This record gives sequence, structure tokens and C-alpha cells, in this order.
Amino acid sequence: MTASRRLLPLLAALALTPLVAPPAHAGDVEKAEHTRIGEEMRKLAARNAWPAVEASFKRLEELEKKGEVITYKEFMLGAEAARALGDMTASRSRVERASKLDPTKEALDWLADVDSNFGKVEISFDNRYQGEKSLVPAVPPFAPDQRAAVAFAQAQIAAGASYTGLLPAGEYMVGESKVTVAVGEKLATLRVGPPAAAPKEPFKLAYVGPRAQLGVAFTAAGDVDDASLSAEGGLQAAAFGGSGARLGVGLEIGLSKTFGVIAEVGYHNLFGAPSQDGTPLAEREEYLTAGNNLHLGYGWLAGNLRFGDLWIAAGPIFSAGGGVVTGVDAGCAGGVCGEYDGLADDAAAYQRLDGDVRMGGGAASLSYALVDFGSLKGALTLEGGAQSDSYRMYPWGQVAFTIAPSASRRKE
Amino acid sequence: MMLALTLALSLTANAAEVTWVGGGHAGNPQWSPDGSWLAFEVNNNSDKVDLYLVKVSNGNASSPQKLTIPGGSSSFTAGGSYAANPNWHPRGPVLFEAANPGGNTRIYFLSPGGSSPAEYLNITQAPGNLAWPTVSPDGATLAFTSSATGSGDVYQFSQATNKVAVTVGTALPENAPRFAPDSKTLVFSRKSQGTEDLFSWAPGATVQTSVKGGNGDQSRPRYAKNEIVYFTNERGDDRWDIAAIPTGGTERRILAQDIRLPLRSQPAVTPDQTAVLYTSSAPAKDSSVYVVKLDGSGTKEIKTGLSAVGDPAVVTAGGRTFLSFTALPNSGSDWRQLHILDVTGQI
Repeated sequence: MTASRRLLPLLAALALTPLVAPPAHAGDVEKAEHTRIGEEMRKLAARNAWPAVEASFKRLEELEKKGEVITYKEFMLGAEAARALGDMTASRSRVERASKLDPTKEALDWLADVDSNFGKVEISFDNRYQGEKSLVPAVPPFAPDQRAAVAFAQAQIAAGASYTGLLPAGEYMVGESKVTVAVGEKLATLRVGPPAAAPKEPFKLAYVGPRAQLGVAFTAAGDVDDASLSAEGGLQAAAFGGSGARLGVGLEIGLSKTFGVIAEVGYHNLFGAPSQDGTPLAEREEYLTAGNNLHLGYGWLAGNLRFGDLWIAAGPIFSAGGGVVTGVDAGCAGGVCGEYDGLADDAAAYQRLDGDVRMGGGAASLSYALVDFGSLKGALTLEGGAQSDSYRMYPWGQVAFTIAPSASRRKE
Repeated sequence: MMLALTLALSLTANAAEVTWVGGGHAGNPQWSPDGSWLAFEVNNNSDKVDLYLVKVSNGNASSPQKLTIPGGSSSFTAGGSYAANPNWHPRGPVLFEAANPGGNTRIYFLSPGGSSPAEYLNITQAPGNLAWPTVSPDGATLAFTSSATGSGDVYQFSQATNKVAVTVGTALPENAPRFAPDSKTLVFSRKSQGTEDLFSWAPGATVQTSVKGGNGDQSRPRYAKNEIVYFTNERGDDRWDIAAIPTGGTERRILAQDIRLPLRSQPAVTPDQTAVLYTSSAPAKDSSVYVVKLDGSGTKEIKTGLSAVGDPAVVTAGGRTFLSFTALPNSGSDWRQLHILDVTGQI
């Protein structure tokens, strides 16, 4: 095959090329689409189908990015659509672009109308804001474009978004915050933060009032702990006990209706007969004997739980006082207690000892309210405690009548 | 189609005449409350009705502005558009009904001197063909009719709530609502069995109160202080009178007979609502505007020197009183023109 024969098909193809339709350029397609959308917009606008006009205009904007030129009339229709839908920011922007293409009186009047009735606003919400997301004009506008603009912003804000754009001049409430929109270039800004914390209620005591109790108590002074005996400590009384009175006065402060604090001071005594090995010395009639007695002042600080009429209190107690007791503790018999070494048993049994005592420990009470006295209640109380002076334990129990403030009758 | 107007002012008798190239009958002039604007219709007697606004200063009109509703640009649409029935908001804007060719009749809103008219209520808020817009004296409520249910019903739009609610909805067509001075009560007409009767509606009422029925049509009512004035043709189809009936009353009295029925509006009343204006259908009397006092104290005649005078409307502005009306010249024109006449001291 010669070269000319090989070129023949190529030449034939080249000769036929002008007879075949060329492929459409992309620009032609876009131009045709532009024409179609433009016609569609006009028909839709004649039917007031503004959402559809808006959608068409947005398609025109896409074509614009590919080189198509939106016309003055299309911008104005787009502006009408945006205005009808309340997007005055977009509406004004489109009119402005139209006016640059053709500064008609219609376009310029429109811009002036918008600028004399609308202002710029930026409304945003702090992430911590949990309040109502609403926009309420102080005076609802009458003009339809203004109403539509408010509705447009309201929809955005209700959806949780911020709003930046044009609103009719005036005052608005956004949740609990106010923003004033003014015509002109000044941007009104409002960032809605978390609502201010509710003012803290000043603390109020649930109840407060005097507390008093009076009752009978049995108090025991146990055996001395032998380890605590020493020559420096001197003779220690044998175990003793007895009945007596216990009375106290104080204050009860209700931090809540179910919990209060008791501060009480009082007097606690015991009177008992001395004994030896369980036998009252008085029965032996060998010597005259005097009774044991102990007189204490005490201070009690307690927490008090209240379950209606049932009260449970517990807390530390400290007592101090003095007394006179007959009988030396058997632990001193071996000379442990210093110069008193060698006391005969009877002498030890009838030895009168006096001295001071300071003891600490705890006390708890169980009360049941029975009667009302105005703002006070009267209750039956069982109370007990255990205290130590480092030599021995002093357990005690009491039945008392208690008067305490009522938790439900606190006077304001 | 070139629709630009060429406005010329000339004096016919003592009236400034508004004329324009392109023809068409002027009709239904309505003054803005402050008297600085006049809205009027132009009907070309074929397929379209246009609405114009003209600024008026001391009785002198400037260039009128044709109102083009959205989507109704002349470049986009053929003939057949409709814009009419202007009603002024007490604080300035004008509301009117309009339709693009083939489209629904909707209510539009325009602040004079502002941008293009905007649809007042969208199709979602108020479906159907909307007509007869009227604003309450306090400016807070718009009443109108809608064909949404198939027959005309009266609806109200509240500015405070931004909501539309049906006020009077029956199987019969209701028309021409107007507010009472209290801005709440409405009077309107209802077509039934070939005639038109008047009813009123008050807030909270479950039924409408019959105001006036009887022979012929009782049409286009409006309040004038404590009375309702309206047109009636109880004496025959082509014989229109103006009647008044006290609010809550039953006996009507005829204020004027054989009047020229205005194109679309309710009876014209003076700004102080003490008198009703009308023109006569009698050829011998059709060159004057008549002012009849509601208290029965008499009727005044304002001669215009023109023919077939109609559509009177009056306003007080700047201490002067201006009368607008339409009329044919005594010769040389096929079209009804708009005139403005200073009638200070004559009413």
C-alpha cells in the first residue's frame, strides 16, 4: 500500500466533517437553560408562586457561576421572590445588583424604601443558652414585606440558628433579651447568653426555738480501770451509782424541717447509797455512813433528725462537777494509789472521798412529740449517754419531758 | 406596549384635569387620609384595569405612577391585568386588589413613594381570590373577602396576631365589608335569591344581624358616624338611590334619588362624616356634584361645567378641601377623565 492510499480514508473523513453536526458547547447548554429558567420565572411570578420563583432564581445563580449573566429583570424578580419569602437581605442584594445594571427609578426607590424601613441585626445564642428561642416584635408591623421579614427571622431563630440580616426597624424581644433595630448602617447585635441564675433565696432557718427538758436519770460510775490507777492519782472511789434529776435548757435550730442542731446546758445529779460487795453499808450498822452524791453541769451539742413527731438526737456531751462518795476502789488495795497504801478493807469501804470530775462522751435521745404549745411541742424523751473521766465510764439513762420548737410553725 | 402616561393639567371650569395618552376611563378615585395622594383606576374598556397613584400638593397633581404588581411587568405579560379598588390605610399605605393575567386576584400593599407593591397576604395565609380590602379606622385589622370556600366570605387579618380568620362564612356570597368607627364591627352585603341585603357582624356574635333587606339590592354599605349609608335600587334595576339607616335602627331614609352609581366604591362621605356626596344620573343634573347633609339640613350643589360627572371623593388637606371626580368633557373626548377641584368653603 502506498502512502497516498493510506491517507485516503483520512482525507475522506476530513471532507465529511463539516456535514456532521458539531457537539454542543457547554455555554450553549447553559444559555438555553438560562432562557428556559427565565421564562419559567416569569410564568411563576405571574401566579405569585414565589417559592418556585426563588428556586428558579437560585438555579440562575448557579448558571451565573458558569458565566451566564443574570439580567436586570431577573434580578428584580428574584428580589420580589426573596421579599415575598421574607429574606429581605437577599432581596435588597438583588435589587442592588439590578440597580447596578440599570439604575431605574423602580430599583432606586426600592433600595431607598428598604433602607428607610429596615436595619441590620445580628442575633446569636450562647451554647449554654437553654431558654426560649423566639423573636417577638414589640409592635407587629403592618407592611407585608416587614411581616414576612420578621417571620423569616423567627423561623430561623425558632430552628435554633442565629440570624444575621435585615429586620424592620423597631424593638424585639429574643427570649428575655431586648434588641433595638435602627435604620441605617449601624448593626444591632445581640448575643443571648444563659439566663441569669435565679436569685438565690436567702437561707432561712426552718425553725428555731428554746429547748428544755426535765426528767429523772439513773447514773452509774463503773469500776475504775486498773491501768489508770497510780500514786499520783491518789485514791479512787469504788463503783457507785444512783438516781437523780437531770434538767437542761438550750436552743434548737432547724436547718431544715427534718434536721436541727441542739445546744443544751444543764444540771445532772445522782444520789446513791454506798455499798460493799453489793451490800449496802447502811445495813451493816457498824459505822454511820453518808450517801454518795454527784453534781454535774453539762453541755450537749447534738444533731436532731425529725421524722414528723419522732425525733432522734445524738451528739457529744461534756460534764464537770464534783461529788462525795463512800468507799475506795479495791484496785487501790495493793498500794497502787500512793500514801493510802494499807487501808483496811473496812476502812476502805467507809472511806469518804470527795473530788472533782470532768468527763466527756456522747449522748443520744429518742423523743416523741405528744402535745403542742403554740410554736412549741412537748415530747416524751428517752435519753442515754456514756461518758468517761479517763478512770471509769459513767453510763446514764433518763426519762424526761422535753419542750422543743415545732418544725412546722416557724414564724416568718 | 408603551404605557407611560403623559399627564397634563388643564382647567375646566375650576377643575384641574388629569389626562393621559393611551386612553382609558378614569374611575374610582380615592384620597389618602392626609390628602397628599390620590389613587385611581384606568379602564381601557377592553381587557385591563390599571391602578395609578398621583401625588397631589395643594390641589396640583404631579406625575402619576402606574402600580405594577410583582410578575405583572409589561415585558412579561400580555393584556388582561387587573388592579383596582384602592383602600387607604389610616397611616398612609394603600391596599388594593389586583391580578396578573390568568392569576388569582390578590390583595397588594404599597407605601406611596416606596418600592413596588407587595402581595399583602400570601396564598398560604389566605387562599383563593381576595377582594374588597378595607382597613379598620385604628389601622390594626384588614377585612376582605375570599373565594376560598367557593363563595365569597368575609375574613379579617389581625396585625397583632399576624393571623387570618374567617369572620363571616356562609354558603352565600358576602361582599364589600366596612368597619364601624369602633374598628371591630363590620357591615357588609350578602347576595341571596337574586338580591343583595345588608348585614352587620360584631365580635363574639355567632350570627350576623340583618341591617336592611327588601326590594332590589342594598349595596356597598359604609358607616358615617352613627349611620350606615348605602346604595339601593329598590325602585328598579336602573334607578339607584342613596339611603341611610341608623345603626341598630330599622327604618331607612332616602338621601338622594337617581344617583350615578360609582364604579366600585361605597358612598363618598365628607371627612367629618356629616354629609354624603353623589352625582346624578339625570342628564340635566349630571354636571354637578351634590353634597347632602345626613342631618337633613339640606343639599349643596357644586357645579363642574363638565358632563356625566361621577365617582366623587373629597378630602381635607392643609386646611383646604379638595374634591376629585371623573367626568367627560362637554366635547372632544371619548374617555372619562380625572379632575381635582378646590371646594374649600363649599361643603
